[in-house]
Amino acid sequence: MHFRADQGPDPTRMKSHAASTRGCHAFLAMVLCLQLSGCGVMHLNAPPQSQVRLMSKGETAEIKVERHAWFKYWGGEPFNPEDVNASTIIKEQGLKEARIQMTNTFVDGLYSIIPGIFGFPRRTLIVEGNRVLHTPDGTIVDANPQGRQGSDASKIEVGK
Amino acid sequence: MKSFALLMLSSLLTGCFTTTLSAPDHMPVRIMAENEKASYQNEYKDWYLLGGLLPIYRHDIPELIRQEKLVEVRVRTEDRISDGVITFLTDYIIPLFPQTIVVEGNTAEQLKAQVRSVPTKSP
Repeated sequence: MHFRADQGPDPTRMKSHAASTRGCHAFLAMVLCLQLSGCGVMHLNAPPQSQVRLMSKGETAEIKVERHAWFKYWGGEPFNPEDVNASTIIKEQGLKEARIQMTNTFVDGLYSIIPGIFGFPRRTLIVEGNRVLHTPDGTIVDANPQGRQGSDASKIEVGK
Repeated sequence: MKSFALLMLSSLLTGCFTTTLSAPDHMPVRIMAENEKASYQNEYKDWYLLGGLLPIYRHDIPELIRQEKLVEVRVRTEDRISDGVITFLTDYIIPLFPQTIVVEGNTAEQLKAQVRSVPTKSP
């Protein structure tokens, strides 16, 4: 703030300062909006021609895969289209039943500080599931599933 | 300095929008592929405060599936430009952070209707 000894605060300079502060806030708000409003479309779906049962929240999942999807143009386009589809993970893991979560983790937020400002936000996709099909009540339907067999991992976590 | 701190804080807070696709208890539901026809399609908005940290209104997808009697479903999450505009417009009061959830699927009746509408080849 600038003062003149004889007249007190300079109204012109005060207006200019206020306008500059408003402009700065508007710019910050716009950057934040861009960070958050990039389309960043995530698909919670299954592979084509597949029969994947949707699991409920309380069911036990032996496999948990967490994968990060990076976008360019503030979320307008993914770097790798396969990363934004849960079907990719379901197919890779040979899951017969799954539940899917899309989230922006705290780490995604941290990554958004610099890359996000320049238009490269990140999202996280978490797929949990089983390679053996159960009924919703927990009875095994498909005890000898096709695809990946013989892995005795009670809890397999695969990251990227 | 204050502006930078604000930007850092807002960036840190971007991390909490969460959407879970799961089924209602004891209800068989199939996950659909992207290219399959869905007769049911609806858009919902989840609302958050504090950059996504605090959900103030979030749709319960299992409950939606139960209400709509969907037997197969897929979901798409989007952060639309309109969501950003809402955040921008509410920025000086209480910044609201909406996220768009698109739920698509079929009920058992819709599936039957789709099967009936598929033309069969005559010998």
